[in-house]
Amino acid sequence: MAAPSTRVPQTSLAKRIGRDAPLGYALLIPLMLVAFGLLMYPIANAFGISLQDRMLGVQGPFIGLGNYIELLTDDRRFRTVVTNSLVFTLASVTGKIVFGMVMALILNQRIRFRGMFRGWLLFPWVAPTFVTALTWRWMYDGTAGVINYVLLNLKLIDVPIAWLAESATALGAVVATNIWRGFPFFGVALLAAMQAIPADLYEAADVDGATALQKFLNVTLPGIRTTLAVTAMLSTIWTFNDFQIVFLMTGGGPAYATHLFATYAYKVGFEGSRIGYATAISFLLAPVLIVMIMALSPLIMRSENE
Amino acid sequence: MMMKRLRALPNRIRLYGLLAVYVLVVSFPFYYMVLTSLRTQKDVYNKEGMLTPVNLILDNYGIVLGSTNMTTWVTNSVFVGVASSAIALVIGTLAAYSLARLRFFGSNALARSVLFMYLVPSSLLFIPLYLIIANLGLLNSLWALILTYQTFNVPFCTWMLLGYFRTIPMELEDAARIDGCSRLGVLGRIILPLSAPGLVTAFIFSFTNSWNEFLYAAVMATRSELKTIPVGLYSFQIADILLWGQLMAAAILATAPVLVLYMLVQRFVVQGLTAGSVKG
Repeated sequence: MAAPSTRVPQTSLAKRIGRDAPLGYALLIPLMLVAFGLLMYPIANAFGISLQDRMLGVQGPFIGLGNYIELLTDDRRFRTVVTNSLVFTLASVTGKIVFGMVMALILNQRIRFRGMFRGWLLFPWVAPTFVTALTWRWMYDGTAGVINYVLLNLKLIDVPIAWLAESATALGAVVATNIWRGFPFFGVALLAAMQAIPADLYEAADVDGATALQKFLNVTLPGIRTTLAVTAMLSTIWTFNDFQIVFLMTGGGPAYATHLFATYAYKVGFEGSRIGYATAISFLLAPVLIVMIMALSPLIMRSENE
Repeated sequence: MMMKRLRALPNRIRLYGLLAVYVLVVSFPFYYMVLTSLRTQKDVYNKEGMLTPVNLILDNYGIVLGSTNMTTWVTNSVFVGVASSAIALVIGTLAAYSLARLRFFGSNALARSVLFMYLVPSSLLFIPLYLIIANLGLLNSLWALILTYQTFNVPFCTWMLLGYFRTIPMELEDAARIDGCSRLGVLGRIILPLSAPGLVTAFIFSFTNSWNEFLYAAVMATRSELKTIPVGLYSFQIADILLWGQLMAAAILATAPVLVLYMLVQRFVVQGLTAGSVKG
């Protein structure tokens, strides 16, 4: 090893690409076909259509950014949709975090049959969303709904409320159902993170005379931070893009009070046949989505490495 | 006053009390679903004894299975679920092995882009996919669903198996290679047998995701004989009179397979969650 500095590191193309490259790329071909054929090409194709004044099943004239301009400047319903989506997402995700956190804290105690309870409390998340939506729609029924029945009997309300048919209550009712469906996922994910926190951290805190609240803030919360952030971001993406729960419970009504991006795009495109305009609605989700995914990806990579 | 009384209780009782509230809130909708499914249309609207199980009948299940298209919808859902999950599992296995074990330029970036693929939501994709499927002349065929469900099943299977394959010790693979096994031989003889639980879990998650899918099915398979269960149930409810007893019976029949599958893979649910199987 007389002069190691003279040894040029191997940078031949073959070395850089890697010995495994031919097989490596070959095994990825089917995945690539899906990525191009079912994601990239359809999106590019649809972008072209969002620039046309096009009805379902017929060609339409090219109008440039006309659809986008109409949406952003002229469409009062779209403004309602944006507000609804933000409220729906913020309220749902906050509720899921709070109820999920309490669930995880309960199950993290020494409790009999903990595994059984964990499995049981996960049921709302396991049940198909369309079943949840239809069941809650029935429970919210204005005349024969069981929720009114219970609240009337407990004297919490004086007259039955048509929960899903009044604009004052519809969005809140859908949010409540959505929280019911989604909190167990947070609960189970946070519980797993809590159980990975070493017990001696709590013992050390006990020695220092920490209160329960101090232990939560200084030991538990830092330990579950990454999981909480990843779960919250994923849930935000999914909630913001929700379709089923609103479509099946209210169809976006009453009077657009619960319409979200996806239900509005569906209504405009498939009930109103303005497919070009509907495509533009879907595409206005993209900037929001890109921001959320960019915020999420370093978090996921970090949790993968932990 | 309430708070003061609560605080006076011993910790354990408060803890179990809170747990009981959770169990009640989680269970009640399921209880009420079952109760409704066992009542006549008249009793469903009867406010006397709304919460007590009396006058129960099984007729709704007979009607749902006998005189609606329910069995057709179940068959469609099973066919679409099995076919789309099987295809996704094959594609995902090949891709995950490549990304987990082979070193080549761009493999890390590609692994990351699989996650991005999974995060592209159906609300953004449903119109683009509808337009492509219409161009291909596949509207109103179950293949439209089998194809489009790959958009979430393939990245999901790939991501989940990628994590699973990485847990298999490299030494096992090296030993087989030294004994003269090819890369694909290693995949077939070492990795796949050791990954059986992961493969089963990925398949089951894909199946349930397909079973629950609503939006693509609602726009691409609208003829009654091609509907999957979610869309079929929706057509139940836009009829003039809502037959809640029958609807809830059908809902229970639609939930049962998912619950059974879930119990089979319960152990893996938490791992599956970290693999990104989120719908909350």
